[in-house]
Amino acid sequence: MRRRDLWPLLAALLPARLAGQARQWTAAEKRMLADAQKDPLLGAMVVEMQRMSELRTMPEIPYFVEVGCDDAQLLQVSATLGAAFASQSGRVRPLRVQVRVGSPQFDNTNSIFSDMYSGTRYDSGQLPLEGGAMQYRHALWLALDRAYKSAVEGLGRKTAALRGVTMQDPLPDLAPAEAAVVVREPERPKLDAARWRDLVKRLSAVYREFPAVTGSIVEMDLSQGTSYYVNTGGAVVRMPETIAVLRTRAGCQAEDGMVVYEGGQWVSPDPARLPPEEKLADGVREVAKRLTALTKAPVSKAYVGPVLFEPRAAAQLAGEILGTHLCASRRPVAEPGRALPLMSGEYETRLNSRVMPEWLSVTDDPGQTEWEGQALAGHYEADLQGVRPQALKVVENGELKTLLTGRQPVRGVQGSNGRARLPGAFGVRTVRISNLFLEARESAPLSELRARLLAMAAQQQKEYALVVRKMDFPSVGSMDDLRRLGQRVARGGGGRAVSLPLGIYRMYADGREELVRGLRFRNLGTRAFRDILAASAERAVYNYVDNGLPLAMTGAAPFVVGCSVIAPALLFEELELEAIEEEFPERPLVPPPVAG
Amino acid sequence: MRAPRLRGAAAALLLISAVGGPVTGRAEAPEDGSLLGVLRVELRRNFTALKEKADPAPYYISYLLVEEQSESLSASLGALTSDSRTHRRVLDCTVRVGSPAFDNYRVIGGDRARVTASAGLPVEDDPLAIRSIAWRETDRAWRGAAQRYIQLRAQSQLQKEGEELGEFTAEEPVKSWAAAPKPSFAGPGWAARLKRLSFKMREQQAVISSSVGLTYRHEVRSFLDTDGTEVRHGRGFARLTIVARGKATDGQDLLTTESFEAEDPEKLPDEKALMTAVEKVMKSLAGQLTVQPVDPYVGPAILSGRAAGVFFHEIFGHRVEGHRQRDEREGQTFTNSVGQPVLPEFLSVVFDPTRRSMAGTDLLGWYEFDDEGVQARPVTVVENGTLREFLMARMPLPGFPRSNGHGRKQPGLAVVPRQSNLIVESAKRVSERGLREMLIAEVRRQDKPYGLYFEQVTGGFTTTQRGGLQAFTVIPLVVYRVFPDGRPDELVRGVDIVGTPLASFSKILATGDRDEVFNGYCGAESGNIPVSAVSPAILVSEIEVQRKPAPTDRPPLLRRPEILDAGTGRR
Repeated sequence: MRRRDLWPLLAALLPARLAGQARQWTAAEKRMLADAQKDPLLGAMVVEMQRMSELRTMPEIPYFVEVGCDDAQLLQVSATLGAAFASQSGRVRPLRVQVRVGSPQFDNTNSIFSDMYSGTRYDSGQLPLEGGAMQYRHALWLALDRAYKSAVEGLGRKTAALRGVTMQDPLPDLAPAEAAVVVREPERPKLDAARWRDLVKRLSAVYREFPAVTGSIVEMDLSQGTSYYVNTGGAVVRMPETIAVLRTRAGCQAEDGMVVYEGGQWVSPDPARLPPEEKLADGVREVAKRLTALTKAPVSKAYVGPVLFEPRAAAQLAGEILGTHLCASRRPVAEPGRALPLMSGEYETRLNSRVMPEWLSVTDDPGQTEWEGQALAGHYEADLQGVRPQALKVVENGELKTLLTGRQPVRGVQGSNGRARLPGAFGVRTVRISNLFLEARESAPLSELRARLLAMAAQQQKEYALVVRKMDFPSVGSMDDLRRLGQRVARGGGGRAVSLPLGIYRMYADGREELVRGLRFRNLGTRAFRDILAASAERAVYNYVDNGLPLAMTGAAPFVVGCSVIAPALLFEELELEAIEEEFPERPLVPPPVAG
Repeated sequence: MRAPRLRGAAAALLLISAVGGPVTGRAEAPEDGSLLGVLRVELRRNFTALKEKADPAPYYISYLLVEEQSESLSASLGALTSDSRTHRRVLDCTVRVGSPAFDNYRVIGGDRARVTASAGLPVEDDPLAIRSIAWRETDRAWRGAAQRYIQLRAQSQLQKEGEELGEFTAEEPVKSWAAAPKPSFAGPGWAARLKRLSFKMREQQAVISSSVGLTYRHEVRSFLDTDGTEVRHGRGFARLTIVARGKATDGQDLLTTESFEAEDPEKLPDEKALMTAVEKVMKSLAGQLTVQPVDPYVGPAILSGRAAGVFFHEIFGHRVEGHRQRDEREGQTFTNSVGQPVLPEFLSVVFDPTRRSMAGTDLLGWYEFDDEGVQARPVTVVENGTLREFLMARMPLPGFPRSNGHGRKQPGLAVVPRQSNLIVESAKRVSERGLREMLIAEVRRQDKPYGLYFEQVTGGFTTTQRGGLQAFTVIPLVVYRVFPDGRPDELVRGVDIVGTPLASFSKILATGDRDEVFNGYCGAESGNIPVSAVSPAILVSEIEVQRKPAPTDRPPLLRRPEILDAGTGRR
């Protein structure tokens, strides 16, 4: 496609399809659209998307089409004890196309049949790594053909499943949204594999100083590239997208055989802005030290009483609990009577009611790129549906004001607020937080919170109170660890699994701290946030990647999105922790090998 | 796994593959500080300690280290679609507890042991890092072995008394350290070559999707055990695959492929020959588009050498794998047939993993040692129609107390006897023309309207277990009708070959005089392994074909983007 051919198409396509909400382009948007015309990839997307209108003679007419592609250079390096595992690098260009048939009121999405297609698949799900209009258009033609056929099949099955069922006050399937025009310079990936491999090797060698740690790994995942997106609503997006994740995990058996693990991650929207190597090495050392200490730490009894989450642990807890429940989701349509093991969010029925103390507010702000000099991982300009997000005060003076949404309508919230950040399932994008700020109008120094914690313990005639310094979120647990967690939750009477506290300390009246192990939270959910007693003046930022899985389980899903939580320490009046009671495997009969 | 499966070019696209490179020289035993030496130290340390402290104690431990370097390039319509390289090491640890007479690998009630621990190793030779992982995996394998052994002991008290064959053959320890051949990665010219070859495909409108890909894998396998065996051997393999897919108007999926194998990429055919192959694939796909699907049919047929190779692999090869003879869930077609005729007298079948190439093609099923460290050797399974022996790993069979070097596996799984290079030898060889004349004579004799000629196949599968039908399927890609009245052969589509083994063997009348090679990947209990089947064409008096499963979905609804027609004269 030659350049001059593209503009009339874009021009014809974009404003015309804004479905009654035609708006004037700003001067900046006009400049960006002019830039978009020069891009062969965007051009091919627009042309093939527009060709879908030729299907108007079919019984089901596409009413909305979207095409997205992440052009990314990936690098994965890992090492143990100073020796590198195989590194993997490569360029990928996964496509994300969706065709909607039916109407915004009722379409093929949000049903368990939405992603099913029974015909032959000819597309590879990827765009070629290079080439021009010919190769791009060929790949898009096949991808859109399959998307259309799946849409027709999906709508048929969904309609059939609901035949004879009366829906109470049904919600529509696609909310209106203003189409974003964001066209930035594409990222030219330049990943220095040797540099990162050497860093990972040096960091993994830190564990050589800790012989009690029998298994350890340091890994780095880098993705650098550009995200492309167009839809028939007029959205045009081309924006750089880079994320660097450095993580470590270590495990061993305590003296009684209990399997203990520790880990950590550092996330940055720019690999160059990861903490300096000495800081990272300190972080790995902290993990190894705590794990070594854990092998000798006493196994704790159950505990009910006041608990202080230090700022980082509080940010992790907020990321895990608020990060799940503030995000709107709907149960997909299934045949009546079919059990779906999906839980609904705890906040969905709590709009306009008090969910936190009145001195606490929560804002989700994707517009921020840094906080107190630290890069924030949750910044972005447009979501996966081509919607520009705005800062949102989600909880104001303790009252839940809104939920975070994509274009899937939910009760009580008008339209999308641009938080569709993960590909999701059932034809519906998954909503995730961006930069979540917990803001306390009243706060006290952390030392005062500690004193208050001890005072409460004394009042309740407790020998000690508990302080949480670190949670296992996103979880670095292995499949075995998570299976054990699942079994414990099931034994403990169901409910939602909460990550394990990795760094949990008894604090005694004399100020002495003692690391303990073998505890897990019971019934820790959104309700606990109502009974927060106090917050500290000190705040910490926690950057992490979420992948939509329970506990955002590290490394278990290919698509991740950066999130940040900025939180003060939080003092909870009463939380319940139970002791882990199970059989532990024997320690190995053969002692571990030693260096030399 | 119910259905062992042989896959050819098309299916193997998802895989990376290997064929023999030369192994040069025998070196001295690797030093203790080398990779193999580090593993040797850890193996001995664990064995000694476990023998002393463990209950049940191990009597045998082995390590298999597979180091693999591979690259994969693929292009479609003139643009690269994938470009990746990998380098990895996988360590498998096997522990046997009890004694060779009764250990944790005993199969009771068809329940097979899967107690192999497997883990990735660093690709750098750091002794502490490597030993830590080997130690952990040995511990894991021992725990699994001990648990299973205790269970089997209890269960065996309830079993009826049988012949005590034992579980593990005694073999002489072998030591051989080949200097691993260097990997020979595809030169920079390959990406451009693949792009040019794949660009040609746009000229054929019938092609909906297509690719030309090159995979190269270099592998070094090191095996060491507590009997004192220590072997290292390696090889490289390159494979070029051309694939075109289309759809007939009735919904039938059409696929044509062509593949070439060589020990390294530079030995693959030159670009001109490859371009001819691309054109053949395009033409073949377009040809299938216009032909009618054939109805189910029984009659005489010729299977090309490649088709016959797959036919023998499925109906014969899987049934002579040793472990099936001891597993009461298996059909055991040949278990009691040693010394008896099982094939026509003019046929012999040899499994020869020492043959590196035949008929001008490198063989995929070549190796120097199997995955239990046993030296590869040729095994004449059928001699002049009479069954002589089975494919053996270190699990003994009545009358066969030794392995014959066919214990094979994919990393992470437990060894079972598998095929290597299956070679069909014939004493009744007829020229191609002669075989065709015999086919026509047979068509006339049976008063059939036509015979079938199976030129190309993509693979097949079979069921060997009693629970299923003792049947096989071979999936042809290119099939012709051959008429007795001298009309030209007619291309047909939409059929698979089906049959049952014993009935099929008796119908082989003669063979051609030219050997052909089918290289592919075989999937069964111990995973995917590279194999070859070499055979002349065979004439069978009767073969049955059934309709392929036919999807009914439509080809792409919109015309292909007109930009593809630019410069092809098809606007």
